[in-house]
Amino acid sequence: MKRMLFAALAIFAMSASMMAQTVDKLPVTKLKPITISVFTVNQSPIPPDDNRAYNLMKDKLGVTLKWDIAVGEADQKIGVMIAGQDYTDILHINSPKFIDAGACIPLEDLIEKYAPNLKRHYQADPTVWAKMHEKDGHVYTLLDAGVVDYGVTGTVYMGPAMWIQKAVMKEAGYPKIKTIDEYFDLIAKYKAKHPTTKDGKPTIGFSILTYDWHRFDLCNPPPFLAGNANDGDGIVDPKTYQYRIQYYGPEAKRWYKLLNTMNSKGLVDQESFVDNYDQYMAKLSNGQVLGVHDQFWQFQDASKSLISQKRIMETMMPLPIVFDKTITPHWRDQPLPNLQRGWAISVKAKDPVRIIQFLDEQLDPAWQKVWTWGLEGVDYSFDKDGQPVCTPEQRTRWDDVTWKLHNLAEAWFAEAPKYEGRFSKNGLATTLRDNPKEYLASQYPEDVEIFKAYGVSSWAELMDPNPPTNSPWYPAWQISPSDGTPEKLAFTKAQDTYAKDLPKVILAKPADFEKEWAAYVADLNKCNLPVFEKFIQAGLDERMKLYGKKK
Amino acid sequence: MELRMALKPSHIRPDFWKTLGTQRQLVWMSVPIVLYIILFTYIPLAGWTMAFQNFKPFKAWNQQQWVGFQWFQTLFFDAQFAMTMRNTIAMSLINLVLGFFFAISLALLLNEVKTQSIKKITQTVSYLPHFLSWVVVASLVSTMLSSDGIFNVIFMKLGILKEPIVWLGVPKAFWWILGFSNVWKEIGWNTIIYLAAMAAIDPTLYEASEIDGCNRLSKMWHITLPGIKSTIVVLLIMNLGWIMESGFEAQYLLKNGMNQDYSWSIDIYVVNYGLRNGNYALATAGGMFKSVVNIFLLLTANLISSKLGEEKLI
Repeated sequence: MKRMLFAALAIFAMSASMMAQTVDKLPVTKLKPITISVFTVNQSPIPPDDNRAYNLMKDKLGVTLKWDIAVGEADQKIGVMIAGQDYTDILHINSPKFIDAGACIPLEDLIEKYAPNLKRHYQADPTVWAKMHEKDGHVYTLLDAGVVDYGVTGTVYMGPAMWIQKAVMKEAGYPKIKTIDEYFDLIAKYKAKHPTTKDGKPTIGFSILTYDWHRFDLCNPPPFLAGNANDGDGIVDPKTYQYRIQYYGPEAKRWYKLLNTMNSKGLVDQESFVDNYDQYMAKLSNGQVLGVHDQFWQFQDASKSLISQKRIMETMMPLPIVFDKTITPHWRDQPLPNLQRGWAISVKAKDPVRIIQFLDEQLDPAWQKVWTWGLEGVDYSFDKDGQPVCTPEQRTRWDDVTWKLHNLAEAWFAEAPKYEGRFSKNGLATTLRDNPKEYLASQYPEDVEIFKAYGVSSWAELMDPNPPTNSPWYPAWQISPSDGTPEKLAFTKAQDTYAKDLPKVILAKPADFEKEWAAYVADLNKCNLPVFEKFIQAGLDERMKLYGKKK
Repeated sequence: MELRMALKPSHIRPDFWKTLGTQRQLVWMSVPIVLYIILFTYIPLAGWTMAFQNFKPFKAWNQQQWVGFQWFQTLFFDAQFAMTMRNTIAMSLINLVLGFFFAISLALLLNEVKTQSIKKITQTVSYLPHFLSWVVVASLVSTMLSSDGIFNVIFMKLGILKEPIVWLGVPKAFWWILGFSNVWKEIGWNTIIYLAAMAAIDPTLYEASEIDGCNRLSKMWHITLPGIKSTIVVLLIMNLGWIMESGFEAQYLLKNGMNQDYSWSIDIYVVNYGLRNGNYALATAGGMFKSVVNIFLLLTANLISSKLGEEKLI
């Protein structure tokens, strides 16, 4: 007993001293402490007081964060903040609203004078720095993603795809499918064999997220299925650079007719159109849904929930599906600077210099590791080749949502300026699991089996081992209309129209499809969409002028 | 009333000051409330000027651009606004009729219950839902109306339906779903005031009617209902004044893409096209329009009621 106690004490002392060693090696700030209030629309629990990373942020960097996390509809909360000019020090930009309302301060001079790390990170690629400037010539947002340092790495696929449950593919013997007909065929066969899940919940063939701003999932598939890049609400002709709205195009009709047929076979979840986001996620987390079209970052929490229950085969895998074999898929992109997304400093911040200095200091690779990797010696260690490795126990913590909430700084990191790619030339990949040794070790045996069956080493590779370079105008969905303009009004009306009519189109009896489609097109024509098309075209033309050659 | 006449200076009666003097403690007690009303409901009316400007939040008041009735024109010529007005009025009327009918019926029935303990228990259980937030109630409603919810299960077992209907996706059903959810939620609360009024009816009237050979139903019809008539009329006037107010929370939580033509009330329109799109002037114009119509309806109902010899509110 005494020996066990002694051993336990020794281990505790060792890990504490290792933690102390690692903590001591972290760069300390010489600046005065400050409390920064942060507003974000990302749904996450408020970090608890005992969170290790945020406490280190307070002790070593002198920064205490005060969170204001938006609940419910983000646009409403933002509208109220703007009406009352009630801004936190740091604002989460995910639309032009704050910028248009004059809530943010220009950052280019502050970066120039006080933030050498940020300057290097954002100005390494001159087109990125150029794109960060808004129409009035100022930089307001520190982009949260897509600014790659020292080369692309990346194994996780976060983007859009036609997702399918791994169990479906396994049961079919891991076929190599390409078309949407084959996709639905697999789903139909699996659903017929398994009408309920192991818990007794009904199996759903295909579900669609339509709640609030997520409703782009309803209208996004057609361009992808036709082999176009993700320009969102429209398609850009690669030869003439002309933009057209895709909501009522031939690709859209083809897709919705297919969905209509699938619905008549009972494969479409009819409640997709009345469910909210929580209900959608609940169905995914129960393993009920066999297929969706979505982007991984939207439903990753459901995946994490299934993984923490060790139900790996009920999680989804991505497939680059297209309408027919003649089309080349273009689902995966090269990383894009995520324009107008990230942190901005508001006009109400009392000490913008101190804040920009903090943003600069937190970009140090040592701190970047604290935010997402953990502490050396405690959560990972370096082997003799300098590669990070984890023990099996450390590895299980990566999927533990509660552990992450108490030890990592995910809420901060999500929108903060970050290294993406590698920390230095030929250095370590910025995501711990993208480093080769950990990557292989951290994959679940089920996933490794799937990789072997398809001859790839990661999901990203399965989607496209060599994504094409982005066109200069790309992506059109980043050109956002400002509030109060005719194009914004047209766009809002169009969104409300398709949210109302597309369910009718999909749920109609096959004989009524043409009638409902015609009614839908007529309703869209009432929304004055040419105004929106002209606005986007103007934006694209400007981008072509700045970054590319036209025709 | 005396105060109304007293507002015309030349007609101030000497009794006015005397009465004011003797009632001075009551006047002092009402001062905080009056201040509250002035501060939070009258002074903010200055914000109505936003409805006539092309309002941008970061510009000062005198730098705003004036546009007259442009936003009201946008509202009235927008087919969608007309539709939300139709929805608002329809939902209010349905809620009004259903609310009155069920609350009064329940009050009448409860009044007939002789065992006090059962009466108390029923009353308490029936007004508990009033305290639930609409978020909870909407979640309950949405679960009950889903494909595997209780409604579909019962209808299918009874053979009325062959396959489940997603009720919240049926646009025309929305008003009734809302109406009956509202009844469930508010019925207990509304009966309180009717039961109180019924308790005030002279019991000798009932005894007299027994001698005349009334059974229970005629007693209800001839004594109880007329006895609470003034309460009903006052409540009716008040509710008519709130007809444009059909509510925001319930519609907001139960609306979705499919039923939007029937579920959007004026408030939701204002939120979507006003607040969400940053068009605060349009939002103010919508709210202003609602208030003006409400005042007009309230005064009209009041006038009609006084002409018919009933109670007046104002």
